[in-house]
Amino acid sequence: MPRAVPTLAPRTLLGLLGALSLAILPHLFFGAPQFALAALTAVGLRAWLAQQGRDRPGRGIVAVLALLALAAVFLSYHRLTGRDPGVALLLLMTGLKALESRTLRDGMLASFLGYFVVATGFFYSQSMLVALYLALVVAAQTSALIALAQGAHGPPRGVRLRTALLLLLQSLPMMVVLFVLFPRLPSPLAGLAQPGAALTGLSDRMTPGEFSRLALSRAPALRAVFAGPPPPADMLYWRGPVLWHYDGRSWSPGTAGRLMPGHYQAQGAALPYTLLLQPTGTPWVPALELTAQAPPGTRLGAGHVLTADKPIDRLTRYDLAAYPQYTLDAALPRAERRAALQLPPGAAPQARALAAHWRAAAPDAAAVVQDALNYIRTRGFRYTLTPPPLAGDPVDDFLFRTRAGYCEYYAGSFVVLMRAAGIPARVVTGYQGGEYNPLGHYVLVRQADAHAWAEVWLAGRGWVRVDPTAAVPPNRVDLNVTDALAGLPERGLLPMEFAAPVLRRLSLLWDSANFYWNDWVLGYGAERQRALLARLGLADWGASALILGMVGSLAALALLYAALYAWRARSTPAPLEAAYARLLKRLARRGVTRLAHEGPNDFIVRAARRFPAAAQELHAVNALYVGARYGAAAPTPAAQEIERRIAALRLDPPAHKK
Amino acid sequence: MLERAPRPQPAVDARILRLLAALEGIILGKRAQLELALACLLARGHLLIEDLPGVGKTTLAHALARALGLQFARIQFTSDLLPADILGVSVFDRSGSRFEFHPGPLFAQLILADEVNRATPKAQSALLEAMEEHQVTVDGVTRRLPEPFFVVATQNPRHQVGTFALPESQLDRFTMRIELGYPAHEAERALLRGEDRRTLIGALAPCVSAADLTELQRAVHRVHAADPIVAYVQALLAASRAPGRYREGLSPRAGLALVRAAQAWALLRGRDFVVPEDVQAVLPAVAGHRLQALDERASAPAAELLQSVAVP
Repeated sequence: MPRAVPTLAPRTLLGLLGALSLAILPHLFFGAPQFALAALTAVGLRAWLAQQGRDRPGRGIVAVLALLALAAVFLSYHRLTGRDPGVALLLLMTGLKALESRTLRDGMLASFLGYFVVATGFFYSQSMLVALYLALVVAAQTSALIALAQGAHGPPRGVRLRTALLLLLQSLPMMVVLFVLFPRLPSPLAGLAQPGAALTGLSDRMTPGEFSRLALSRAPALRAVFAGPPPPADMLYWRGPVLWHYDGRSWSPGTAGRLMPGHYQAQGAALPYTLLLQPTGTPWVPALELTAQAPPGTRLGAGHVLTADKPIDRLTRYDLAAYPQYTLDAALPRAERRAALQLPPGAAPQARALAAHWRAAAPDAAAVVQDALNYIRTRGFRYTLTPPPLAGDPVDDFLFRTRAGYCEYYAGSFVVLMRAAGIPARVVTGYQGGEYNPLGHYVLVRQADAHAWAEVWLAGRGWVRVDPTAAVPPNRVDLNVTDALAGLPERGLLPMEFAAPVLRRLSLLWDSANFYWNDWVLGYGAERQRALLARLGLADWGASALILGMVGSLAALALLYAALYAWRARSTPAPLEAAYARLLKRLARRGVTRLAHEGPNDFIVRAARRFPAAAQELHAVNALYVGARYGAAAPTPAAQEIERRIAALRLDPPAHKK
Repeated sequence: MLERAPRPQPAVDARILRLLAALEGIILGKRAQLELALACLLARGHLLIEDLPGVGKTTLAHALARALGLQFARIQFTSDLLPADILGVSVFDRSGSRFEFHPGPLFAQLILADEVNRATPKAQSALLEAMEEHQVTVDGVTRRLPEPFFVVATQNPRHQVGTFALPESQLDRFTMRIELGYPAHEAERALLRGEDRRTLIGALAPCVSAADLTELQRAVHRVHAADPIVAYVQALLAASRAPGRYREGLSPRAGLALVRAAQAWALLRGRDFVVPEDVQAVLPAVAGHRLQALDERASAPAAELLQSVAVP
């Protein structure tokens, strides 16, 4: 090439390619894995070529590849805009840019693309782990960028990485300012949220098999922070969808949408708490029983179920108050009564017969409830996550033959028994229990804590919660699913981590870290921004004032940094002295310390005598230093050379004198 | 002298090596002192040799003059020496009816002022003024002394009888003071077996020309003394002036002498820049005669000064 274009040194190029790969890597688990793989392949191909000492592929090939990439993205998504196609395009183009990189300009461009790739990672995950990883990738990218800017004679990798991390650290205050003051949008950026995708949680249908899947999921469902000590585990019923309709096989809300919200009468003291709900893609807010007032953005529906106005597609925070003592629907409206007594004709004949028998013998409804619970307690019922399959009518088969199942078997069958006995009853789903995290002072409820129980309506008492599952193994209600399962034969199904207490403690620690991350970082929305600003006395700041404040703060930070830099430039040693100081430090660590009044040449003679194998290199490095410090030559190149050679210096153990 | 590891030394000027070799042929086993003396002269300084009689002070001065190809004059200082005996006198010339100046022995390039502390202060000051100014004024007429102009003075240790100790102000004019000391065993044997030194000096041919000498002196000036070196010298001066250590601190002239001597020492080592070790190597010779520790027991004030100052 006749043009004098600065080309990339192989070492610099490989560093850049490495940083790019790190940025692309997480996308293998995100929205466009096949394109991430293609991009990685392109980057790897360039690295292979560089290592072979070969040039990039021709421009024609790259142009064809670019067209192919465009076509592939379009064929996959039928458009080129939006989150996934956009990211796929960015990944492919970054890979191709890396593939055709030869000059410094190419490298710079690829490096900047790499930063964008890092940013797109947050479209898919905002978890703490991913944020941490991406921060490290930014450091690697910056290190590669420094190498690009300084050319082949730049400082060694360790120094560059240190500089990059330092830069990252210095940008932290700016990041905090931007984070706190940047005006929050009331809803996420259009096209970024993808509701319903790969989310687990409660469903409004209860069919066999569903809860056992949740029971194995360690994923957090919600976290609750109580002002005081948390209530005991047997009070922690997190109310989800209420199921009224039974079709002989599965339960659903049925016509609940047409029912009125219940009449609620709170007794005793309120229990205030903060609920941090993981995104579910559904509108239900599993609040502690029983919520008095719906917070903004939610309402209380039929069966006193708290639902949000929109599906919950991101971490959401609610300030709630629960009344553990309550009366719900002291009088039962007719529509409710009908819905709470519904049974499909012909379903569960044996259960109906049993219920009728109880009803005839019992003085009141409460006695029938006790009869049913006694039946479960005394007839060898067993709690298991892998129940034998049911044949024929599921309720009859469960109650009279298999007698093994998990909460939904019990809750469903119990409600059928009650309804057969003429007692209004309904199934309530949600979560039960939770794990108190003493490190974060909150209760963590996992998907594994999903539960189903029953409510019966008793005259004069309203709806009363009955948990028939509690009648089986007594520890089912007191402890969470994990603990309950620990003593059961199915234990092998659960991940190892439950067994070891140390791991358990680590897992608690990890969850509290996540909790704070969720609460303070992801949970910091428009609402909390307003609250924080109000606390700072800036309640009436509008968006424009916020932006002004942001710019002002950033300018102040920049000035502060400039002042710090000027101050440091005066007080810290020049690079040459710093490099020499490192040599002295290394030697001192090996027992050869330079005396204050000792000249460098005298000292190096002494040091070389201690490390005969390194003597020649020591003398050479020293000569460089002495020449640069006391000679008439410019010291900076020597400083870098010294830095490099000190890093490579091997100090064998000192020779022992006889 | 510090021990050096065997490694390639920078190229030393061949003329310097020649000079040192020639001097070593005469003064045996005194390499360090010869180097210091040579450095002193290359730095255009005057040299004071203090030692017992008979250890070779005069021989050294004479050999220096011969090796450098300088016009040599020797002035034996005695208690009855008059300034005119050094500077010269104006004598009335009858035929020309005017005074004619008869230059004294001072009008030479290398003066050996032997046993300078035997003379009276009056005669001493006549010499010392000439050393500083490189000129003498007799009968109102100022006359330049030849260039280069070196004074090598020898002095007997102060405690010997019949000596007038040089005052501090006079001592300060000598760039260096060195001591020769008794020769080492081997060297003394060679001395005893060898030829008469005087014969050897007579046979000694000049090793450098006058132009070479001037060039070497200029080269000393060109040796780079970087900021850290100047800072180091300043730190040494400051430490010498700290109260409670020495009777008097080092003068600015001493500081200048230190820099020049260090530059010359660097040139002798074949370097074109000064390193801290150069300063350290010449400091005892440069500062030794200017410093008097207040603590009478302190034996080596210059070494102690070095130990107390960190190398920047």
